[in-house]
Amino acid sequence: MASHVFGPVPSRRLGLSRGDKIKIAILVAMVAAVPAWLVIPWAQRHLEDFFSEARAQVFGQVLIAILLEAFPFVLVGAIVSGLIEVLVPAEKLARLIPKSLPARLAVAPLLGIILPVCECGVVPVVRRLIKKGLPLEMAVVYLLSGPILNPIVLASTVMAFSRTRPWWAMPAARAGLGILIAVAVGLVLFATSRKRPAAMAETAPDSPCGGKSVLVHILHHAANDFLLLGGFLLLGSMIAAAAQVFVPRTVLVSIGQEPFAASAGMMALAFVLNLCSEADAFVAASFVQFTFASKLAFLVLGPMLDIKLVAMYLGALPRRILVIVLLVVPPLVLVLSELVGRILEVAG
Amino acid sequence: MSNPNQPPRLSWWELWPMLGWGAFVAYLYAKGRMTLFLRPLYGHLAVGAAAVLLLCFVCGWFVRQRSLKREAEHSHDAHVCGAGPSAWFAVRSLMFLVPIVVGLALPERGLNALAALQRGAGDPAMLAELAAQQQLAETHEEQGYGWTTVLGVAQRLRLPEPQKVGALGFVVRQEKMPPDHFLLVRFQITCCAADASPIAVPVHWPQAHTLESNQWVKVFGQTDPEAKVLVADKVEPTREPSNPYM
Repeated sequence: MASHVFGPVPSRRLGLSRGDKIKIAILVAMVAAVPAWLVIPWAQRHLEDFFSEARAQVFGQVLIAILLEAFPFVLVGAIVSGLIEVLVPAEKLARLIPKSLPARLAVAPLLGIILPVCECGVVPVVRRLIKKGLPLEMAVVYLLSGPILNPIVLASTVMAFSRTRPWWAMPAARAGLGILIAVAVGLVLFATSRKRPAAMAETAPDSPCGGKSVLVHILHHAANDFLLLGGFLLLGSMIAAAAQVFVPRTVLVSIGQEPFAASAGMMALAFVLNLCSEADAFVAASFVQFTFASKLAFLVLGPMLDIKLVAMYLGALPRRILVIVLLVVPPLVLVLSELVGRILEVAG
Repeated sequence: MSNPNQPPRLSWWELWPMLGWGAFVAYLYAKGRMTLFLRPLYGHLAVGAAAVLLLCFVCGWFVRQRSLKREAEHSHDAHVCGAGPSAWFAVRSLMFLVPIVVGLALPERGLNALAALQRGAGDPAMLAELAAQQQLAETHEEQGYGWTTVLGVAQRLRLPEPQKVGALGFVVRQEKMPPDHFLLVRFQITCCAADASPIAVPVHWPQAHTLESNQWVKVFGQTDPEAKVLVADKVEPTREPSNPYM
């Protein structure tokens, strides 16, 4: 039976012996050593000079700070995601689908706790669940609220806002609004079509990585997720760091003081930053000048809708879901965040 | 046909970010530079995660070696799946180099005067809010003054009676400032440098113009409750503390 391997063609196929490979490696190292010896100190000197400049230093420090703080959560999320991917059969969950609409909508957010994945991981899971017969409205509620109700996301929100008073306000408001908006979108979806969606035209092949080496597969998926989420976290952190350096504080403060404009601005930021829900709370907390409502809008919209998610929804889910999410989610987040912000202000 | 018993081989694109980022975080921790970016608690969390990453790298490396060996043994009938990682996958993996290079090139110091000014250092409303939010900072005797934090000095500026106090911070000078004034600043962080808020106290000292921004100093003096300024008796240049934040 032919063995099934991944990655580049083994060098054995090129006819290289172990000794040949060692000789080539030594040769490459020797050839590379000369320019490296010249270039590395030069690059190091110039980089150190560059980062001695005040703006560059602040940019670098904020960038590294956000990454250092967020990456443990991304790592835990990636490992949990790997465990779920390998150990939890989605089909068994699908068999537990309730019959009535209210029960479905009530149960769907709980999937976010049973299958705790972030917004990137939830898309393939939802796609699989829809294909296995999960009703669309239930799938969309899980899709939108799951990444917010993920215990790791909630824990990171608690941690990021632990020194604000009261400490539970932001995590509770985020979770509550996440469920409310997800259920509202589910209802709209249910109201607009009662038909069961046709099976996806494109059927995803079974993972070629399926097998008995469970730990290896978990590690493989975790590494992939870590790379994926880490990459988006890095991009978002760079934009956030640049914003902190190059956007004058007076501008941020003026945006932060106008109620609806501040929330709209933060929602636009969430859409553009593409932050992972496991890390976005730390970024939101760093915008100290912004109102509670605008930070809430940032934290609720981000896991539901951003640039990378639009692409993933487009590629993995029925178009109707994307259209309804685009039309319903932003206005609801804007209005409800402001409402919750006002209520908390009045409550003191 | 795929062999269900065949585990996937992890590519170097997956492995190196674990090694690179794990080693980078461990390096920052070992050099005591974590406090330039994070509160100490979060620093421990980050180094714990770095240890997990390094462990994952070691496991992944062993798996890779085993797979390579197996492939070499069965190379005659190997069925290669795909042509290795995609270009986007490789770019994503290489992106992890950016923070490592930036982190190694950064000077060994905390947030600077520019960040303090951009975040509202010297803004009386912000200072009053921060000072009022927290309990009165404690003092201990040093050189005949009540040694406290910059926040402690800011809080004592609000007291009706003059207080003899001293504190450690860095100098921030603005162009508009009179030559005999400077701001004594220390950042307070919630989680990391990204959310750091500057606590700044205006200091009156005749030789203030001789000081440079970002210079760390110990200031001893007496609060002036009416002018809301610390009138310095002496200003001693000193080194930046290992943890520059409060």
